[in-house]
Order: sequence, then C-alpha cells, then structure tokens
Amino acid sequence: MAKTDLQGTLDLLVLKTLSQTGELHGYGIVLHIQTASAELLRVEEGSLYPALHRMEQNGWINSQWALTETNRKAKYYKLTAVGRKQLQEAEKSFEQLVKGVRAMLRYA
Amino acid sequence: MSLFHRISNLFRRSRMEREIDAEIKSHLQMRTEDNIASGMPPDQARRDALLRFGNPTVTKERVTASDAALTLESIGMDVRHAFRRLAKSPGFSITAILTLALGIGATTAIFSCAYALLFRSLPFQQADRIVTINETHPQVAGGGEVTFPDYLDWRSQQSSFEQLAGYSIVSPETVSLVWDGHAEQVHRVLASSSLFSLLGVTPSLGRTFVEQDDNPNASHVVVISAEAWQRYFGADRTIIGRNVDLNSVSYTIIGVLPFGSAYPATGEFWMPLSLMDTESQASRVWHTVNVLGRLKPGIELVQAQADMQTIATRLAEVYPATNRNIGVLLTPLREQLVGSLRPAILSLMGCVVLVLLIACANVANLLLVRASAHLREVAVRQALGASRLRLFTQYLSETLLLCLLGGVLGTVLAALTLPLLRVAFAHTAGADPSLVQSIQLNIPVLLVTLGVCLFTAILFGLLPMLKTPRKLAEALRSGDRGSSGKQSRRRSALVSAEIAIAVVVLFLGSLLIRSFQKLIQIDPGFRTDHLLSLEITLPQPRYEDQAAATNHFYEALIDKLRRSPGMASVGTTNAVPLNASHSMTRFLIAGAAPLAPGAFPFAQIRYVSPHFFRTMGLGLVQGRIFELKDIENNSNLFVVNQAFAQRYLSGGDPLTSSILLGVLSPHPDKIPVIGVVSNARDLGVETDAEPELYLPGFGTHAVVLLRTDIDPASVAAEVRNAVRELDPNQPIYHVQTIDAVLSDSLARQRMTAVLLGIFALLALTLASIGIYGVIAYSVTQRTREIGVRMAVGASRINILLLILREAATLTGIGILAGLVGAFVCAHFASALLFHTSSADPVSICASVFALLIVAMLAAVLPAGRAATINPIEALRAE
Repeated sequence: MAKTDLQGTLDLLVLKTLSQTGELHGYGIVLHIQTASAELLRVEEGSLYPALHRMEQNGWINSQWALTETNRKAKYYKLTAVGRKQLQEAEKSFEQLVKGVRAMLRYA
Repeated sequence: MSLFHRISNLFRRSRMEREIDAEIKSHLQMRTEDNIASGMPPDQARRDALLRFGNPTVTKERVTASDAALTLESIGMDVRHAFRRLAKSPGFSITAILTLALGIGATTAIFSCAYALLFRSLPFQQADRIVTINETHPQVAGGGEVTFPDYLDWRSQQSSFEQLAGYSIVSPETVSLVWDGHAEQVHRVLASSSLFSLLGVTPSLGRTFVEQDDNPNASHVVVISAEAWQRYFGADRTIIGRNVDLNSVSYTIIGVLPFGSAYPATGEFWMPLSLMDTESQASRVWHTVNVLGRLKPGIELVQAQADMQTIATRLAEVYPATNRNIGVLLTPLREQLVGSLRPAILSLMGCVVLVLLIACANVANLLLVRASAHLREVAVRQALGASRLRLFTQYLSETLLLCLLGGVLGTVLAALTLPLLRVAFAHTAGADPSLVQSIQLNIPVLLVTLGVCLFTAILFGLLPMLKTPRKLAEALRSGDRGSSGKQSRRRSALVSAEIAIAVVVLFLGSLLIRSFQKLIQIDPGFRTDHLLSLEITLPQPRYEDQAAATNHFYEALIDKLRRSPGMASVGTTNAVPLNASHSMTRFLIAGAAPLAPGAFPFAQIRYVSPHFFRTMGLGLVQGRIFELKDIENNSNLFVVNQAFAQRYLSGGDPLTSSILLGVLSPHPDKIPVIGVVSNARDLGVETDAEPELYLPGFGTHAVVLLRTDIDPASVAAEVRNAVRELDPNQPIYHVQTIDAVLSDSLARQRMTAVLLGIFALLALTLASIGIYGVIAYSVTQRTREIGVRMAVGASRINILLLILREAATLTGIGILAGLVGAFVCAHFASALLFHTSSADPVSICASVFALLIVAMLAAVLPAGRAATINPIEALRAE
C-alpha cells in the first residue's frame, strides 16, 4: 500500500526538481515546477521554505549561498546521496499511488 | 546562565533568523523583478509577489519550527520569556514560589528523617530477621533484661533462631579507661561471642570474640568501636594486641569494628559476657542481660514468640520464686530502636503531607486564576499564527520554571532544617543515636515531592490552556468574564478543601501544644533548677558497695564539695532523677502475706546519702531521714515515699512497720521504716510517682547531686578538681544539669508540638493566601455586577457583606468538612497526647476561631476594595 500525502508530494516535486537541475534556489524551484509541469502545478511559494528546511534537517539536501545570474544573493539547494535514495522511494510510492487512484477511477 | 552563554545564544538565534529573512527577501525580490520584467508597474509587482508568497512572518515561524537546531534555542527563549513573565507579576510569582518551597522543604525534611529512622535498612546483615527478646513482668514496666541463667536456658532450649546473643550494659554501665596517662570514663558492653556474628558485623581490624571467650575464666580481651578507636587511640592501626587498663584490670584489644556498626550504639568497649560478675551469672534475681535473636529462615515472629513463651512458662514452673509471671516479648530490632518515636514521626509525616496538599491546592488556585487571565492573550496569539504546540511549550516552561525555583528554594530550606531536626532527634529519648546520625537529605523523597508539585502545576496551569476556544471571536467575546462558572466553582472547591485540611492540621497542632503545656505544668515534686548531676564509678575490687573505703571516699568528697562557694547542698543516689530507672526490688511488708505463694510486690529502690532529700527538695512527711552514722554503722533503715506509704502501709502507722528485703533468700532482712518523704516524679514527669524505698549507703557507682545557689553548670570544674584531689585517676562523667535532663526527657513531645505548631501556622498562612486569592479574583470578575448593584441602590455595606458572605460560605464549608477529618485524625494521634482528650474543646475552638479570623482578614481586603468601587467607572470600563 502506498503511503503518501500532500507534503510527501511537495517533497517529491522538490527532490525531482533538484535532481533534474542540479542546484537551485527556492524561487527557481517554484518556477521549475511550474514550467516542467506545463503550468499545471503551482506551489504555494511560502510553504516551500519550511519544507526545504525540514529536508535539509533530514539530510536529503544541503544548501549554500551563491550569486544568481542577475547578481543577487540566494540560497542554493543541492541533492545529497541520502536525498537521491529518498527520491527513488518517493517516486516509487507516488507511482503506486497514481496506479491505485487510476484503478479506483476506472472501476465500474 | 552565564552572561557569555546568553550573548552567544542571542547571537546564534539572530543569525539564524537573519538567514531565513534574507532567503525570503531574495525570493520576494526575484519574483518582483520577474513581474516588472513581464510589464507590471513596480508597486503592483511587489504586491503580487507578497500575495503569491503568503504571510512571510508565518512562514518564518514555520521555518524556525522546522529547524531542529533551533528547537533548543526556542526552549532557551521560552525560559527567558518565562523569567520575564514571572518577573512582571512578582506578587503571583513570589507567592507561588514560596508556597511551593515551604511545601517541598517541609515535606522533604520530615520524610528524610522518617526514612533514616523508620525505613532505611539498619547497618546489619538482613536486619529485618533480627529481633530483640525482652522479658515482661506485669509489675515491672520497661526494662526487658533477663537474668544470665535464664539467657542460657533460652539459648539452649529455643528452636526458632539461628542464633541468640546476649549483651549487658548495666552494672556498671561505664568503666574507667586508663591509657597513656589519661583517665576516661567509657561505655562498656559485655557481649556473648555470638553478638557480632548474629549482627553480621565483621571487624575492620583484628577479630571479634570466639566461642572460647564464652567460657568462664575467659581471657581479658576487648573489641572497640571505630569511634572509640578514633577518639581514644588516634585511629592507630597498630592497636591490635595492645593492653589497656579498664577499671584497673588489663585487657588486650583484639579488634576494631567498622564505623557506624556499634551495637548497642552507645557502646565503645565490648568484653566477653563471661566476665560478668559471678553473682549475676549465678542468680536468677539480677536482670542484666539483653537478648537478640536471628530468626531461622521461614520462621515468623509469632511462631518464635510462641516458642519463647513456652520456654518462659516452663522456667516459671521450675523456678517459681524468681520466674513466676515472667513472659517474653519479641520485637523487631528496628521497632526496639525507634519504636517509641514511631507515632510522633507518623503524625509529623501525616501533617506535613497535609501541608503539602494545601500548598499544592494554593498553587493550583494561583495557576487557575492566571490561566483564565491568559485565555484572551492565548486566543489573540493563536489568531496571529502561533501554533498551539508553541504556546503550550511556552506556558509549560513558565510552569516548570516556577516549580524549579520553588524546588531549589525548598531544597535549601530542607537542607537548613535537617541539622536542626538532627539535633532535636539526638536529644530525644528513644531515638537510636546511630540512626539519628544517618539522617540526611533524601534525594528520592525530594524528587517525589517535586513531582507532586509539578503534576499539580501542570494539571491546573496547563489544562485550562488546552481548552482555549479555537476561534478568536469566541475567546474575545467571553473576554473579561473568561472564567466560566465551572472554573470559579473549581477554585472555590479547592479553597474549601484547603481550609478543611488546614482545620485538621491546626487541630492536631493545638492538641499537641495543649498536651505539651500540660506536661510542662506538671510539678515533678522537686526543684529541677540549680541542680547538677554527675556520675562516678569507683573501680572494683579496690572499692566495693557499702564498704568502708567507698563510704570514706564519698564522705570526703561530699565534705569538700559542701564547703565550696555557691554550694547549697550535696547528696548522692544511684539513679539520675527524671531518667527511667530499672533499679527495682521485691519486698514484703512484715506480717503481710505474699500476693500469691511466691509472688511479691516490686518497688523502686535507691541508695542515698543523708543530704539527698534536702538536695532534691523532698519534704519530710513523717518520722526522720538518714544520718551519717546510719551509713557508718551499716544500719538497715528505710525511708519510703508517700506513694509507697499509701499503697502498702495505709493500714497502720508507717513508722511502726517493717519491710522484708531479699524475700527470695531463706532469711530475708527485716528492715524498719523510719520516715516518709514526699513523692517525686523522678522516673520522668510523664510517669506518676511510683512506690519508692530509700536505703542509706554509697555504692561504687553513685550519682552525685549538687544543689547550688549559682549557675549549676559553673561548679562542674570544681567537682572535677575535688575528685582529682581524692584520686587522680578517678574520672567523673555524665555531668548535666537536671533542667537539661528534664528538657531532654520532654524533647520528643516538645519537638512534636513545635513542629506541628509550625505546620499549623503554615497551613493557616497558606489557607489565608488561598482565600485572599479567590476572593480578590472574584471581586475583579464581579466589578461590573457590583457596579450594577450599586447603581440600583446597594450600599457599600451591602457590597462588603456580599463579598464577606462569599468568603464565609467557603470557610464554613471547609471548617465543617475539616472538623470531621480532624476528629478522625486526632483519634489516631491520641497515643501522643498527655492528659488531653482527642476531642479537646479548647483545641477545637482555637483552630476554628483561628481559621475564621484569618479567613475574614484575608477576605476583608478585597471586600473593602469591592465596596469602594465607583459604579460609574465600573460600568464604563466595559
């Protein structure tokens, strides 16, 4: 049985974004999720940060301050090895969730 | 917390916060820039960024919360915050902390004593299996010593004990130790070889006795306590094998006991029991041996009791003259050591728990009031985005801080009180010195007490917080009158309970104080002031009882002392006044029949010098008292006290009666009565004067009594010099004023009365604080109501009475409930009362009135405030 919730989904989106882009700041993550999902998903920007800090506490990501292309200081996040493993698990459990929900919807 | 720590914490905290701020700011700026780039006007771009982001402050709070590294930080902040909040309402904080401190301190101190005296295991192996085996006799109270032949019979016939051990501390109790040119009077114990193995005490140096030491003509060996080893021999490790002189006889030291394991605790030198004088060893008349036994595994006390009783009955049949009516009583060792203190300690424990309960109720009340005052604030803060958990931890830290401060102060209080209690117990007859020594602050007790307070504080301080309405509007609407009826009822119930408990404590306190008052009002029958007592034991065989050398020594001493300045009179006896003495004898009035064949009455017997009566201040009722020539001629003459004359000589003229002494021997002495003197309660003021017989004479052991015109303690040095002039190696000991003996003999009752009095005062104070708190709060809650009442015509007196009536109802309910409890408790405490009924009307009135007065005083302040409320302001304030 797949266990997932909204927070888990946000974690998955953030982890996936970081695995696709390598290194990104919070604002960049918001934009990436928006474009990569073809404008279907929009993250509530404020709620991103508690999630980021929690994931950092869990050791899934780490962070450092760097300059953006527009020469602004921003905090950049990067996946760790633990985070990569966590991403695989989260993806698997999400796939199952989707499968489960789809099966549920098709049921006559 | 050190200043450095605080600054670095502040620094870390603000660095973390700055970083989060910076991150959020850079996010908002990037969004704003993008918005401008896509064509929005700057201010709209900024507003859009904020809208998309949500509330930055809430986000920041949540980010902070998710940073585990900051959790500790936030606790630190909570503590600082809690400090500030407590400091902001000093009245509340100081009251709560002091209340907690008093409750915790008093409970910890009393329970620490109780633990050491009643519950801590004794320093002996499996001490719960050790029992004392005492002899009982319907006519002889106290004592319990058996005769040496009885002890031997008990030992050979019993089957319930692994071992029996006998020891003797009487005749004489002390011996003079001559060592290295010093003479000291030391406490000696004659002990069977089994004593140390029975107790499971192994010596720290050398050995203890072996079985050969039980044989007659045993070698002169001695075991010493670690305390004596240190005091007299400077803890010399080479002491084993050395010889010391005890009563002019040389003994070899064979062993040193470990510290704190002396038994009996007063003992310093242990010699083989077989060295007891031959007369005592052979006769079933001299009761000198105390017996201990270690129960066999599986044998219960009752079985052993039955076994020993059977033996005693058998002995009574074989030796009816001496053993008739003698029974046996087995008592667990601890019971023997502190048993007489148990009721006092238990009542102190009970009362201190009641005080703790009052303290807890008080703190609960204070916290309830505070919690309801905070409801509004809590609701507002929740609405502004504070999480419930965050609020909860914040109030929790406030409560914990309160309890912690109270606990620390309470511990200090307990630590300061314990030395006083130790002194009080050390002066208390019936408390074994080694157990009193072991009284110390008991950490588990402290923790449990603190736990109880903490539990109460959390229960009453935080639970109301959990029930805060989740909706802001609801909370604000209930606003000022936030305390529901249920809450104020809860507070009233708490105060009534407090008052009820206070009544119980007050009643017990006043009962014991009344009882103690009666005790000190007792006339002992002689003047205790300006009277000094000291003891001398002359070494045998140089001196013998009633021998010329002995008479000469004491006559010379008395003569010397009488001529020293400030001395009114000097006399000798063989028992220190006010000390329970076991110096008893069988007798028979000449011409009267025995009570039953072979059964004789008993009386206290004293060998005294002629001036004894004048020194004590005993009046001559009839006949004459002794003269010096009575002693020199070795005349056998009796002076009896009034109690004796009334009980045994009421039939005719006492002065024509004669008394038979030595009734067990074939040829008893027939001794005429020459005088009757007034009664003295010389066995202790609690004990009615018993029949007493006085004989003229000096024993090797004598108690010298000095009646002085000046401070009696100041003549001790003179006495020492006078004795030294007569015999340079002769020590004197147990130098004490009879006032001090009297005071020590009442120490238990005084201590109990004083402590219970203190508890009663504490209870009264705490209850009054409780009443004040509830009434004061109720007045602020009812401000508007009072305003309305005044507006429709209530006078200030009406308002005053309204508030006082509220207080009176609470107090009345409390007092009624308390009286019921008080009678039940007093019934259990009746063992502690002297000439005082457990339903003493004076005590009842005293406690009820004290509470009523204090309660009304506590209520008058807030009631007065209510009466001076300005109705216009009260109504406008809403």
